[in-house]
Amino acid sequence: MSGKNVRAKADGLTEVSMKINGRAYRGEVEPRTLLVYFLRDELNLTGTHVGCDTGHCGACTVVMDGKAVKSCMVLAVRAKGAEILTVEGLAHDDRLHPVQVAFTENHGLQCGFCTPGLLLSTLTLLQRNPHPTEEEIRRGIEGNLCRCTGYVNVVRSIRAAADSMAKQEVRGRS
Amino acid sequence: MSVVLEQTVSEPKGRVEDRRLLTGTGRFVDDLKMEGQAYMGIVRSMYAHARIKRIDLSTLRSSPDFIAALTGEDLLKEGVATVSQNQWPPQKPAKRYHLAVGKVRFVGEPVAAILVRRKIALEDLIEQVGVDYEPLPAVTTIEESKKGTTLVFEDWRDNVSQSADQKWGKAEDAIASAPNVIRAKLGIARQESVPMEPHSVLTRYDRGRDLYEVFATVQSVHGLREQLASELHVPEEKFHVKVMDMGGGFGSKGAQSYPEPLLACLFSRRTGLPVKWTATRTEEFLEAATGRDEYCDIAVACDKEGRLVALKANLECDAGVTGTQNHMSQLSMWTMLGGYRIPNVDVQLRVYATNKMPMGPVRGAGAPEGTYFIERAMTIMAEKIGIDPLELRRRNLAPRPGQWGAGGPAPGMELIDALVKESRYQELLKWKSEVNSRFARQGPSKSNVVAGLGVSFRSGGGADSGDWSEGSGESESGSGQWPTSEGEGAGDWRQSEAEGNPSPSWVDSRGEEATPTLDFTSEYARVTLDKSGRATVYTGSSPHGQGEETSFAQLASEELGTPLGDVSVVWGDTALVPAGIGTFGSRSAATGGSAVVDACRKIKSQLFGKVATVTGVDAKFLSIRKGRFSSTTQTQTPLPTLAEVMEMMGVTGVSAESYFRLSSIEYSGGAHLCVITLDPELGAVRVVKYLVVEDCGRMINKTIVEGQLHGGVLHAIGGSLFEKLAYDDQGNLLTSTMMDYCIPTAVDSPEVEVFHRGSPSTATLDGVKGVGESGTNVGYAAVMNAINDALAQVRPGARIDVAPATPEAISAAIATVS
Repeated sequence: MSGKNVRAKADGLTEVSMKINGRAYRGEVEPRTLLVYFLRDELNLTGTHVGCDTGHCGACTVVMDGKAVKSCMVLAVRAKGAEILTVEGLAHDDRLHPVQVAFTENHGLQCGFCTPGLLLSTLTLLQRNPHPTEEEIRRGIEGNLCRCTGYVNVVRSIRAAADSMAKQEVRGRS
Repeated sequence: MSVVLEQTVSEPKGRVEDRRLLTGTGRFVDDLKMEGQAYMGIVRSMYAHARIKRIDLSTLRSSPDFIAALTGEDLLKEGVATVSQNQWPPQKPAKRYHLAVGKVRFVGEPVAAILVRRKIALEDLIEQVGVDYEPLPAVTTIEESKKGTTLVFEDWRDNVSQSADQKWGKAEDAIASAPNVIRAKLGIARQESVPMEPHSVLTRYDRGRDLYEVFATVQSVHGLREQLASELHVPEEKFHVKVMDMGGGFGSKGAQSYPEPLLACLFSRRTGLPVKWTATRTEEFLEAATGRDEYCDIAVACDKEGRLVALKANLECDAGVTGTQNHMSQLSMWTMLGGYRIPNVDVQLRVYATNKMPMGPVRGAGAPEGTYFIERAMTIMAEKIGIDPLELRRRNLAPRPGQWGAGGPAPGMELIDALVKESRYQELLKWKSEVNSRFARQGPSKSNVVAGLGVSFRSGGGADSGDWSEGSGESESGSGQWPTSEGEGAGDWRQSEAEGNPSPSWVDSRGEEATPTLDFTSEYARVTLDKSGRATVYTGSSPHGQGEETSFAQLASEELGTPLGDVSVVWGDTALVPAGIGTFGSRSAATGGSAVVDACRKIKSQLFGKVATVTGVDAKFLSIRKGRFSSTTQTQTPLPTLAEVMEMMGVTGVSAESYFRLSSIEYSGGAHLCVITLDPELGAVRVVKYLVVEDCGRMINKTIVEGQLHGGVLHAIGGSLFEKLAYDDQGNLLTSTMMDYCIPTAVDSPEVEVFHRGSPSTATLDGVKGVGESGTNVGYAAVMNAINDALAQVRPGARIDVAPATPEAISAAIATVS
């Protein structure tokens, strides 16, 4: 790997830098370090969770350069120079993001472990498709497993988030 | 006699706990770090049954990351006890250690534990431990276990771990002379809870104070403290066990004794370092308690009018190497006999040991199995007689769960009637027959599906709580009586208001009483109310998704008239909450909630007593709201404020404690309806409608209740369609990732419609009936009955009686009927 954001060092560690939630981060990792462990262990951004370590559960979902990715399937060095959004970056100045508001108002979470991943998948789903049908919502979060909610209130939350974001969009324009 | 179940407590929009979980500021055990922490890894057996010849740690020791290692021999030297095993119901003691001694008995069994400096080195170093095994024949099925050619535990004379019977009347004779008899071999495969958060532990031993600080993923901090104390022979007060946020449990983080917390304590004691361990998902599949794996050879007989005359069943369970908890199949047996009048019964239960991971509770813990067995049998019987399956259930409802004989309206009738009404049952049947006649006309093709409708019912009430927290486990042969948990003088000790000795700043109602014991039907709470009107609830319950931080605050808010935002709920910490049982078994809102209400009422009694003395107003006319007292009668003098009353009492706050005991846990009852379509070419099932009518008593928080039902139902749908822990004939687990063991995604899941009927519980102070497992308990039979209804359209006689009905099983069922 080469490039200004990845530099191999003599002790086998590699320097990586990336922008997370709008802030620049730099760290030294073993090249095999996964992005999720870089976030959790090196940067203490523990809102991103590990539920399966095989890329199935989606609890570790973050947004990388505008796309939802499972951060247990991405090497930290692969995220060189990337812009990452984690759950910690969703709310602004204590004001919850409309997706977060929709999840609490519609009981779209119970234990909360899968929730960070679901919030970020929802965000990218609604950016791609602001008015999804129920089927599209279900397909959109297929990669995020939840054992508590039966997805019933998750789907309701996403529908509510779509509505409130669409209203905001309208207000923003007028 | 329908009682409208209105919410009597104002329900907030969103839960108290949501904000931190939505912003990534929750604290799960693996999120925690301690200065200088070391990482623990477990070396696991690759054989289902083998003798350990040698464990070679030399390569591991030469690594710069190596700190320490433990083997079974070390545990013996440390004097560590064998793995705890409950003795209700009685089970044959299985002599097993948290690290295998001499022999391994299942794939994944811990053989050695290692402690290393860097987390990234952990997996490599686990591989560096060389274990020489001498493989032995493995017992991998109930059939092999029965033969007893190979013993799972060499000091047993056979592989039977426990047995029980339930008998009354003359079932055999009644079946022989009955006009309608059905027989079936029913079962649910081995399945796992699969909470999204894997198990994790972080411990730190404080040598100076001889104190173990333990953060662990547990449904009961007090239960883990008790287990660690007894297995390590260290007094309970030396452990400070804590859990903050937890990513689900569903039984798997309950009272099972797992190796890792104990091993982490030993490592920390030996090295002085904080020790962290977190399971991989594969370790979770290899070790977390598994459930179901119950099979029921059942015969049911009815008279000409469709009234049950007898039930005879052989119930078998594969318990693996047998676990700490073993009440599941006993519960299945009771649940099976719970809802209907059956004059002649003969059920035999045998639980077998095999070379598989130990059995433990999985959401419902036996009740889904028992409900499935009776409810599948009822539907098969309805088909045989040729009547509607709901009608057959109506004709046989017991007036009260577990009772029969004297008449009286069956509460279950209301649920069944509501199911018919809310689902527009007749329209659904019409729709189904249209779909199926189209299929019959056009024949199978890829775009063509058949439809099936299934129902299932479970009576509510306290019957199948039985006496299982402290009962004898003996059957009442021939009596027809349900085991009840009406203990001698249950709850008596708390009936009278305890007069406490006022301490300088707090009035505490504990006084000089001895600490009462807690068990399944009781829970601890302490509530404090300070002079500014803020309340704190300390509960022995341990929420991990159930939202008790919100619902218990609602209860305290309702009782004390304190705004919801002024109530804090504290749990999951043995130092802050002195006693507790935890959250499992659908019991927290019933027991824990009642304890909160009880403690609040004691506080009011103290305060009202003082106000009465000062003002002369009878305490029974007093109430409190937002720190102000009011009276329903005329008063001559104005009533003092809360702050003034406390000033007069010479205190800054008032507190009260409760060890509230229910005479029995009252469970929610439910009637479910499931509609599916089935593509016979692909063997693919789609749940197109799912409806629940529930009697869970009063709802503290309707949104939370319905969330519990949604999740519970999907657990049953997954368990009916594809969840299965599969083994090969050597006992290797073939489903050790989430790719092989599938839990439902949003695409597999239906909308679940929930309707409420019934009446508030009179057994609990807050009026609730336990609902956490109800969706799962009733769901399996509804889904499996729907699938079988559809299969009969494809080919008469095609049947799947063992869940899950995977596409493979569906294809086989269609193919095997000629």
